[in-house]
Amino acid sequence: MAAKRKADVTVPAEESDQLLIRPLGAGQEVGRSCIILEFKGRKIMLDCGIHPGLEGMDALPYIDLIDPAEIDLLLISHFHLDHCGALPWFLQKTSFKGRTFMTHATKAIYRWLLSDYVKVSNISADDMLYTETDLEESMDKIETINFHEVKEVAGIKFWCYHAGHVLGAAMFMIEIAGVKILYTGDFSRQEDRHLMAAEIPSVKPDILITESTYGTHIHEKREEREARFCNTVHDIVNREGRCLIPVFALGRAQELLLILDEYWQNHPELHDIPIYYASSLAKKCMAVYQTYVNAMNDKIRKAININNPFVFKHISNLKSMDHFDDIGPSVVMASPGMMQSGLSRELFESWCTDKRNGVIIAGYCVEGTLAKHIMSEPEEITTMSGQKLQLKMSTDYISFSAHTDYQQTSEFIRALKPPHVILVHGEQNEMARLKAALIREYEDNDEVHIEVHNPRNTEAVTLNFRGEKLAKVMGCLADKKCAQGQRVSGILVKRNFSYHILAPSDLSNYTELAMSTVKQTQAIPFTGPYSLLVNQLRHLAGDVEEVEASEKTEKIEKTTLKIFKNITLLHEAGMVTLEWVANPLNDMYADAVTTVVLEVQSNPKAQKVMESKPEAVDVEEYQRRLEIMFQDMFGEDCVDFKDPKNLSVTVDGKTAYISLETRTVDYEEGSADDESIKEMVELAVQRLYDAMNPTM
Amino acid sequence: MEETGKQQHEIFLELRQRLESGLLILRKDVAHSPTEVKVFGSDSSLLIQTSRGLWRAELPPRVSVVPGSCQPTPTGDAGEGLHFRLRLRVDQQTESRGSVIERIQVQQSYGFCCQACGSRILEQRVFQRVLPLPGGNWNTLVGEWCCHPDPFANRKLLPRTEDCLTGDTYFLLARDNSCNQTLTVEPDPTSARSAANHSQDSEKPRHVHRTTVKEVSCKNCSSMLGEALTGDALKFYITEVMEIESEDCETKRAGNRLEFVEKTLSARLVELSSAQSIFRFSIQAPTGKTAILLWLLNTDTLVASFPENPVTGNGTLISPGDSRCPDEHQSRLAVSAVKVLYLPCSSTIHQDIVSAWERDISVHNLTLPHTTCQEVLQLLSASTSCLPPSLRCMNSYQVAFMRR
Repeated sequence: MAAKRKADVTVPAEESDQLLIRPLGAGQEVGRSCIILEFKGRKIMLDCGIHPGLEGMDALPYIDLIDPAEIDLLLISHFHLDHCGALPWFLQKTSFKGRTFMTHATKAIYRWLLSDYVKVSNISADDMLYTETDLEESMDKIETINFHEVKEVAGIKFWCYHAGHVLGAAMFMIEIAGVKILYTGDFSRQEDRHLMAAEIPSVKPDILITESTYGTHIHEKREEREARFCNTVHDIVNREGRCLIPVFALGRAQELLLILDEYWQNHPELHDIPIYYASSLAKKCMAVYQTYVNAMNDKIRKAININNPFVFKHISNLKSMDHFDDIGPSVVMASPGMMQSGLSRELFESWCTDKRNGVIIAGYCVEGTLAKHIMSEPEEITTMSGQKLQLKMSTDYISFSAHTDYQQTSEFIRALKPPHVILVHGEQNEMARLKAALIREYEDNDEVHIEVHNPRNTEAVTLNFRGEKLAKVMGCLADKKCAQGQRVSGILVKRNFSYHILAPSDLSNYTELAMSTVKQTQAIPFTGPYSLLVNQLRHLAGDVEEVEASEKTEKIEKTTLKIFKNITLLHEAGMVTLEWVANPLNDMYADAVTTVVLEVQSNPKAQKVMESKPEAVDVEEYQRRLEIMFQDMFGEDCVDFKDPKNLSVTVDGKTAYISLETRTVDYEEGSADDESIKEMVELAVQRLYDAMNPTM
Repeated sequence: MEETGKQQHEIFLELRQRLESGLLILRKDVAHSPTEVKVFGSDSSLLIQTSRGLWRAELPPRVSVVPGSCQPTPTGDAGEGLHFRLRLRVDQQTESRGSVIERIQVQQSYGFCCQACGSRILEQRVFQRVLPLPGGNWNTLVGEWCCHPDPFANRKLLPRTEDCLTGDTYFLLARDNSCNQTLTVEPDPTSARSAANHSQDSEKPRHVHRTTVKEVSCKNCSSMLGEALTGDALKFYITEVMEIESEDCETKRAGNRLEFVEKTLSARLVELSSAQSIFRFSIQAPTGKTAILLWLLNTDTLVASFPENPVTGNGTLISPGDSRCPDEHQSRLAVSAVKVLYLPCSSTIHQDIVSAWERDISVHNLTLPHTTCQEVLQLLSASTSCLPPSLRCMNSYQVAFMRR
């Protein structure tokens, strides 16, 4: 990688080799993910989240540091608010005019969650970021992308991979001018019952921007975790207890239901113990899940063809407690997950004093909630009505995390070997530990060099990618195989970040460009003698051709000359008109011709020469000298000047006839296609004449 | 069906403003053959003349019948009477007043009174904020908002003094000093809800820190108006209270309870439907028990119908007022209405439909007091029974029109 160059300041962004990655949020923190990528004059925003712990404008990423109008592309990884919560604000309240993409499932759930979020935050906060109307109106600006579908915006190519984590979550691969960047969003490499594991892209990125939530932690193995979960449930119902599993409605609940249903299926002895899923939203959440089966793993996608895996054999939905007879052992999954209120809280309060019962906390817990409190195994708890109750039921904590752990991240990096790793979305210390661990992992490895960066918010990581400029030859220029050292000339066409060389005539075939020609015309007043002009032009060019006059011009007596093969000179009364197709060479020729015309017109000397020597050349003398010259050139035998009307020179059996009047040379009819002798003889005839008859 | 069949109105007119077409049905005793019937439009009205008399349906401004467009159409059921199709010219669709939730605005003065007796229940107040509440189940999903510790979980969505927080069928207001004199707050004695059951209440947001429902009712007439969420926050159903802009409550008092419920609910259905593209609603009691499944079909309808013996006071679709003999000239105003399909959930029939709707994400739950659910059902079935038999049902659903 080249060192930072001073010159870059003046290089236009489009040509710069600098790639900047700047977190405006999620830099050494969890929340308000928002990362800006800048390369080759393109700007991309990755995620646009809010910080859940902050309110109003404070919850936004540091968007005031950028000009939203300059962002070409915005990619949203998944539907969590810390990744998309600021999107309606960004789309509706800023000057952003680029394009926005997310997956289909994300878009559906995003709207559902945000429409509640906007109301909750507007009621509890004083300054509103955006309203429901803003959310509604922003929906049309969001485009969807299928997994693995390649899209291109402003020359930026991008596509996405499954990221695990939650339904619809995506990792984006972005390619700008051949440099590839992978943004993981939040991901999990562990396949679970319904979501697939994050894919390992087949293309290797140059830069990996990865989440680091769990730092160097290592999760319990899935099998062990599931076994522990099932065994705990089994123990509780075996001791005639009631098992409470507080869960959230979307995501983890479906996962746990799939596990429990399978476990019950394999344990017929449990069949008389009911499992209830008590959530008024349960069925609706299921509907969402069933809609987006294509975003799930193969197991589910195959199963759906036979029967719906989300229709459980052993689990009843409990829409109303009227249908719940609390008479014996049972398993109840109820929301909310942190037991802050609601059904899970009420069941907990009525069951907590019986030591046969048990509660299993299957998610993360927030400080200040009952779920967090009971993890410290207190002797008593306080009910919502203020009553003290003894806590005798067993409490277990089993983490079903949908984030990558150190082991998964490390394997992911090992598979991709990106030269640069940028850590985002992690608490400062976790991130530092992960960075240290990754560096340690590769410090003794001479083959793989991985740089790990953990930028703070607003701090840019600057990387240099010196791209070798490569231009492909296309069209008729490529018809012939090029040889080493051969020059190729054509037009260099730059499109986004690729270069092509084309013949001008191919422009319209391969590009949207067209070739135009400019024809120049110049009229000069000319009253001098035409013959003198012609004479002078012959001296200048030696390549003056009379063009046959067309019908019209005959009447008005127009004469046309072609000088240097490209300049057309038209003479009519009092006027000379020059015409040529503009290009640097022809322009120069035209200038020369113009000078001659003006000179002949204005310089009296030029006219005098003509007048004083009307018959300057003595024809006999000219013929004699010509004979001597040709005898010198070709040998005496070759020259036949006996007949003055039929002077000829014969070389290698080819005879050229010379006309002294016009000083032109002709072959005998049909005798040759080789012009070289003719040209040579003609040139000699002309030169001798010029030498004997110098002008001016 | 036999019994309701007798209630079929003599003449029924359904006009679709968006389609610019209309359907006219004459009961078989009104005319026997199309030749006996003359239908013609005059300025802003449609006239129907048979040997038995003349009927006039008055049309709203800028809506008229295309002359000569009225054509008889064959009917499947010969016993039903004569059917005619006609074309309309609609220069401007009629617009109806929004519901109270749409009408309430910031910086305006409002008072609230009991719909049943008209007595004032809250002091005149000016709102600084009028904000919508999130969907009823938002807290069930709050854990999915972020992948990490999420501070929203403990948010309480309660109104401040100058707030009006609006839900789908209710609004939350802060209690004021007059409440002690105007309202009674006591645990709901009739509610069979268990403590655990409360969280199943699908229409309530975060304010569930309670073990018993505290019902709020009017001190004057004891009508149930809503619930007390906390000591300071009150929830009022839009079907039970009226907002007034002037100081005088009595002038606003509507004479007809069912008409008020009908118009309030239909306006709300139209608003929710157009704002969120919802067409199917599950009308539930606060216990979460579904009372009616309701499918909003058209919102551009105008209806007029002519009963044989004008019904009095029971508030069916067609309001009374014209007591002249039917063979004489009758005149009715064609009114804006919404056309709905519905299914009462009281019985055990159609359980498959009920469970299909429950599972469907596009079905929206609306909570109304238990008695109001009954009233809605009553007005829907009254509307159905007036219709020509062929229009009364569609597949398993019944059809009704609700005035806006």
